[in-house]
Order: sequence, then structure tokens, then C-alpha cells
Amino acid sequence: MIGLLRAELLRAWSRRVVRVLAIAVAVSIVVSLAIATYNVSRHSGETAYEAARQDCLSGNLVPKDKLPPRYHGDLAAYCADRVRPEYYGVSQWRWADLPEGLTSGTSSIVVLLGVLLGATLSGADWTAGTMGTLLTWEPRRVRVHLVRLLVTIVAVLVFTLATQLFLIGVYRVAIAISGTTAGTPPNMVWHLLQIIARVAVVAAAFGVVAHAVATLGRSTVAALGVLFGYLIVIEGFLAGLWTAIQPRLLIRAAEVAISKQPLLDQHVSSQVGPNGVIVGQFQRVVLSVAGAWVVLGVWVVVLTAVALLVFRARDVN
Amino acid sequence: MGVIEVEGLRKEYRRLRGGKTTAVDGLDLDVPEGGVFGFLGPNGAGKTTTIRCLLGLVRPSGGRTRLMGAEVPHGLAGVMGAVGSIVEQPALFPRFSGRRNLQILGRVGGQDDAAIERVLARVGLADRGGDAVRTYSLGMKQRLGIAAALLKDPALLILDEPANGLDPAGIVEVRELIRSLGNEGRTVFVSSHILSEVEQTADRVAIVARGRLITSGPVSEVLSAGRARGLLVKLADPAAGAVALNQAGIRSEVAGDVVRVDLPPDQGDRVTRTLAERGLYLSELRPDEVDLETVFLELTRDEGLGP
Repeated sequence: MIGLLRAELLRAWSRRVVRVLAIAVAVSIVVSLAIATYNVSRHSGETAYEAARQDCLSGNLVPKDKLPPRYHGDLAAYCADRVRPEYYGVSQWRWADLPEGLTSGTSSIVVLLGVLLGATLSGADWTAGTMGTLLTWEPRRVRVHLVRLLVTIVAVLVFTLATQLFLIGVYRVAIAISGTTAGTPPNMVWHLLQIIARVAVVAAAFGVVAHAVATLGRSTVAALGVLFGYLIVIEGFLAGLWTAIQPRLLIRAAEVAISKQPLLDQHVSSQVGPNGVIVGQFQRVVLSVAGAWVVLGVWVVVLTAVALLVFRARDVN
Repeated sequence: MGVIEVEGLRKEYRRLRGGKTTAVDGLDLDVPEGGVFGFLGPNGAGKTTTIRCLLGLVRPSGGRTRLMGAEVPHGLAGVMGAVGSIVEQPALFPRFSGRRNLQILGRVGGQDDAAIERVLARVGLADRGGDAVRTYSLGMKQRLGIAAALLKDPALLILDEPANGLDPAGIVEVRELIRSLGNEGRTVFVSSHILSEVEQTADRVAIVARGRLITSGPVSEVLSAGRARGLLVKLADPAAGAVALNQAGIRSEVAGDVVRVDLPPDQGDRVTRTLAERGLYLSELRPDEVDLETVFLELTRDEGLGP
């Protein structure tokens, strides 16, 4: 078992596509942030912004005990939201913007990297015809499948965590060159770590799904074609035409799991008081955060089980 | 107990448009331990399918197979460490070096780098082990496949057409390698359509056609199962020699520059005496040996499979 695991790790590490992807991702991050940093210029509104921020932090804008509930008494977080540099003509990188940038900006790309890695780590053996060779060394197919799956999960987790940490590191350099750490909430690092962990786990889940599809289709290209076709076209159609199915869709579940924002019903429901007066309005939760993880888990478990059963029973040529 | 035991093996494939194709049809096979066993048959005879069934790559439709006493596929894990194999073309990662391919397989079986260097040297790839497999010739890929099969230091080697793609020098090398492996006490099960190669290396053979066993046994026995042996006589005037022998009641015919005589090899004295009495003196007298190819063609023709 350990020998097989070492062999699969060596194989994954030896794959050129992994190294090419790593270099491409690193270069893309550095180049895009360098260009963006070059374009960001400091403006004279910085002093005004800093004065307004201090004013807010001293409670002059809203006293701490009257903050909206969602800030849980965190005045710094409230001020980061309400007093933004761009309102004062300050155009610069803000360290405080990083969590939002990670969740809404780059997570989808990181998850797609997981899909790509999952598909290629599974499909390469079928494309090269080496699965038969491997099975003449380790004929226990369940073991082979699970070890390969484990290696895929590890590879995706390591790759996506490293990608995000690298992005954060480069962003930190950009902040040092042309940015500000003003308005950074005190628990920012912990918050960031939680986000990149969630993104990496969701990417690993998508990697497992891609691994299963590549096993069923016995090809990397087929897996990528089927998955992208499904995720982009079919889920898009389903989400638009049949809203009730939205909580069961992979992309919706991934969005909710990463952002920790539940999926809400588009229709606003009203609560009517005894005298017929609307006393409150609310949106029904269609998919909770916990529910999103369950949906992702079901996708992963079902597809893995199907792929394993097929792999166990099928002839290998 | 044989190292390979096959009883009533059947494998059917479903056709896309319905119906079934039978690749192996009730094959029985018993390969004893030690030596080289040739597995012969025309294209489509079911040789590769049989090997795939033996290695657990393909699920049989019926029958029973045992490898080194272990039931296939459930007992395979216990014996696979002692079984090296190549099935058709060796399938290896083309962008990895030959050495890296062997390292990956070696990790599975627990073989160290010294073992990898040893097998690379044995197949003559020590100098090219660092090059990507995609830059290898077909023959080099074949030799790398043999190296992979040898990496486990196996007691049983299953080689499916190991001489495929090799040049004449490579064929001789593989032949000598197979022979030496057989002499080391290993069992080498080799399928091939190059009958002369099998004849020179194998101790025993089995001939299959249409998924069924036609004959099996030591090479000498299989050869003698072919058409009756005779004698070949070389003399200055073959036509006169044939006439003289036929007049003496010994059936004979001219075949090129020799006379083929229908007598067992141990009755050569009758031929020399008959010819000498008529003033005809032979320059060569030798048995009309039947080669494996002739036997193979005759046996498969009997089955309606020959050319």
C-alpha cells in the first residue's frame, strides 16, 4: 500500500503538466499583479480618507453599540466597509480587500485547477495505456483506485493551497509597493486561512469528481469535455430553467461553501402582522452553508463509488 | 502442479451491434514449472486474451485459471510479486525516462535503484535509461518492457510477443535472454508468431487456434505429430535416383535438387545400398526434419484456419 502510494506520488510529481501548471499559475499571478500595481496610482485623497477613517473608528459616525448586527460590535470591520479609500479618491491596493478578492475573484480559477489536476492525474494512465502495466504490479483494483484518489486529493490540496499562498504573498508585496493596510480587521489572517482552506477543499472535491469522470471515460480529454460541458452548459441551463434544483447543483454548492453565504430564494417573502400590515420581509434560505457541504459530499461519494465499481468490474486493455 | 493452469477458459466480448465474439473457447492449458513454454497461434487465436485473463486484466466469461497455484483474480495479489509480464506493446509513460518509468513500477514492488540499473544493463539500455521513452525505437521500448518484467526478479515471466519490432540482432538478443532465463530455473511463458524463434528457445509448446488448444507438449513431440518424417538424398542426378528408388519399391520424389524418400530416418542404409547397387552414389543423406512452422500450418489447416 505504501509502495503504491509512493509510486503514485512519484508519478504525479513527475508529470510535466503539474510543473507547467505551477509555472503558468505563478507567472500569471506575478504578471497580472505587477501590471495592476503599475496602474494603481496614489492620490491626494489619502489624507482625507485617513481622517474619515479615524473619525469612524472613534465612533463619531456610528457608536459602537449601535452597529448593525452583522458586524457583531466590530467597529473596525464596519469602518472598513463604510469608509473606503475609493470614496476619497484614493486608488490603491487594500490589504483588507484580499478576503473578498480571494472568495469572489480567484476561487473559481483555483477550483478549475483542481478539475484539471484531477482529470489529468486519473486520465493519463488510460491515455498512455499504463493502467494495464500498473495492474500487473498491483492487481487489487480497489486499492489502486483509492490510492490514486488519495494522491489526487493530496496533489490538488497542495497545489491550490500553494497557489493561494503565493497569490497572497505577491499581493502583500504589491501592498508594500503601492497599497495600504489601513482598515485591516484584527482577525484578518485567521479569516484568510479559513478562506483558502475552504477554496482548497472545494477544489479537491471538484478534483475527485474529475478523477471519477476520467476513470469512467478512461481519458483526460473526455473528462474535461464532459465536466466543463456539464458545469458550464448543463448546470447553467438547469439553474435558469428549474430553480428548484439549484440547491443540488455543484457550482451553487461550491459558491455557498466558499463564500459561507447561504443561497437565498430570489423572491422576497413578507411577514404580515395581525392587522394586515407587513411587519417584516425575509428571503428563504434555499441552500445553507452546511447543506452546501453535504451536497458536495454526496457528489463526491456517489461519483467515486460509481467509478470504483466500474473500474473494479471492467476489462483493462 | 503447473505454474499456469487453465481449465475451460472462455472469454466472450459483446459486439456493438448485438451478438458476441468468442475470443477464447474452452481453452485448457498446463504449463509446468521451469523452462521456456511457447504459446503459439495465428492472429486472433486468443493468445493475448488468454494472457490478459491470466493476469487479471480481463474477466473470463467462464472457466478457471490459476497462476502459481493462486486462483485468478482473487489470489493474484499473493503471487503477483513473482510474476513479470509484458502484454502486447509495453505500455509506459512516453514523456518519462526509461529509468523513471522503472522507478515508478519499482516503488510499487519495493525494488531499489540498484535493481533498476541491473535490469537496464541486462537489456542493454543502461546508457539510454535517462532518455524519454518517446525517443526510443520500437525495439528499445520492447527491451524496456522486458526490463520492467525482469525488475521483480520473477519466478514466472509472461511475455506476449517479446520480439515484436526488434531488428534481427535484437531478436537474437531476446532469444538468448529468454533461453538464459529459462536456464536459470524460471518459467518463461512466451507467446509468439515467430515460430522459428519459439522452436529455438522453447522446451514445450502449445498451439491454439480459434480460442481452442490444438496440441501441446514438448517441442520434439509436437514436431513428430506433424507429417511423417522422411529422408533427403542429394546426388548428381536426382531424377535417376528417384527412378532407381521407386523401382526398388522405395517411394520417393524429386524435390528441387534433392530426392525426398518416404522412409523413416533409421532406414538410411536401404537407400544407400539401393542407389549403390545401381551405380548411383549420394553426396548427402539427412533426415527430412519437420519444422514447427510446418507443423503449425498443418495443424491449423486441419482446423480450417490455415492459409
